[in-house]
This record gives sequence, structure tokens and C-alpha cells, in this order.
Amino acid sequence: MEQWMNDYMGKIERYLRPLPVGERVDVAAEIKSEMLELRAAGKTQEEIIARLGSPEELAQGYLGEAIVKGPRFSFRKLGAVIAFYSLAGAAWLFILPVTSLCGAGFMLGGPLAFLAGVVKFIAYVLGFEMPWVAFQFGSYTPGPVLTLVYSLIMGVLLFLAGCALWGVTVWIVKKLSATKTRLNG
Amino acid sequence: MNLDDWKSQIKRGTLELCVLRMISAAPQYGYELISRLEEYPILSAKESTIYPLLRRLMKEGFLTSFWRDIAEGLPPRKYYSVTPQGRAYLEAMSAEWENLVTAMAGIKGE
Repeated sequence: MEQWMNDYMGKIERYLRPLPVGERVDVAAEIKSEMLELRAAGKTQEEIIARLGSPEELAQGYLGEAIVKGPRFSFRKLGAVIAFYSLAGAAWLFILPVTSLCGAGFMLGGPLAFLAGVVKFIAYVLGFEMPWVAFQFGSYTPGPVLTLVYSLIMGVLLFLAGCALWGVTVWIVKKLSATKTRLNG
Repeated sequence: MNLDDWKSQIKRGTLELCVLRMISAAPQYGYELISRLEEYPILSAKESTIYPLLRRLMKEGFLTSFWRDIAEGLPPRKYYSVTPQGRAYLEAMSAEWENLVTAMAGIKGE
């Protein structure tokens, strides 16, 4: 077996994990058999993958049958659906926008919160009241000096949270493009 | 009007009959079935359709399978054959098919 075949079969087996072991082994053996037969007939890697479809597509056929054709709802099937879609990447469609938007938003919001604290403090020093820039913890509102301190703490925390979320975003994108490269390559 | 949708519905409804009928003539392996179906564009279906269909027919007791070694250097193939229960199902389906064909001919001739 060549490396790409191993990769392909590895993915198939991972996606089919919701199926019982015996069934999974049998399915994998059948797919592998056709793959090797096509290879022996002189087909290229591209031609073979074009025939079989991506591992996701092929595995979904099996899981789809298992999910749709069975007579009853079961948690096993629900598990199969969820496991498949989270592996196949659809879950990232929801996670990615959240991590990227929150990441960027927090990174921007942190410094802005601190800036607001500074403005309120300067205004206080100059003798202005800025009641519309304030922290509110229940009914308690800190004075301008404390607000400056709190805004610094809050700003740093928000910024760090933003950085962390952005890091997660970058990690996901890298992981997804690595998967894609492996599929194409 | 979406002709492709309609064609894929026909395909979905008839593949089961086609596959059973082909296997009932002689045991077949998956790739062989798929290659033969490819000769008819209206019936051609990918691996991701045919393999799961075969598996379902097996689970329902209409097909059985066995592995057979072919030749040195070639992987063993998984062959499918029809069970008595599958043969009965095939006959019932064939009768309904004839029904449909007769009905269509009748409507056309009216």
C-alpha cells in the first residue's frame, strides 16, 4: 500500500467509527480491495480518488444508509451523525466565525476599554463628570480613579482572551488546510 | 423544471432492482457491478451509492457475501450472491415493474 492509500483508509476508518467494529473492518476491506484493483489496472491516484470520492463522501454513504434506513431513532445514530459531522468539518463552520469574530473583537475591545477609563480619569482631573463612562457592578459604581484601575485590568483580560481566541482560530485554519492538503495530495 | 432531480429519483427507485437482478444471474463483486451500471448513464452510480446499498440489502437478508482470491498480486474480491429470500423479493419487484411498464404503455396508447 502506498502512503496516500494508507491516509485514505485511515480517514475512512475514522469516519466509520460509529459503525460496529466487524462491519467497519468489512467495509474497509472492500474499499481497499477496489482501490488495489484499480491501482493494479494502472489507474493513477487522482483517477482512483475521483472514482471513489473523498473519504467523507464515501463514508457518508454508509452512515447515511445506517441513519436513514433504520426503523427507529436511537442515540447511537444521533451519535453517528454528530461524530461524522464534527470529523468532516461542518462543526468548524460554526466554531470558526465565533472564535475569529470574538478574538478580533476582544483584542480591539480591551484597549478601547482602557482608553475609556483614561478619558474618564483625565476628564475627572480636569474637573468634568462623565457619568456615561462607568463600570457598573450591581448598584455599585466605582469612582474615576478606581475606574481607571479596573479598566486597565479589564482591558488586559479582554485583550488576552482575544489573543487566545485568535490563536484558536489560527490553529483551526491550519488544521483544516492541512486536512485539505492531505486530501488533494 | 428540474429534469436531473427527477432522473436521480428514478435511479434511486430502480437501482435496488437492477443490482438484485444482476447479482441473481451470477455472483458479482462491487466494482464489477458499478462498471456494468456505468454502461447505462441513467443508472450509473458511484461507489458511495452502490456499496452502502449492497450493505443494506445484506442486512435485510436479500444478499450474502463471500471473499474470493483471484490471482497472485491482486487483492481478494468480495462477491455478493442472492439468498432465497432475495430471490423472492426480486420476483415480487419484477412483477411490480412489469405492472408499471404495462401501465405506462396503456397510458401512452390511450
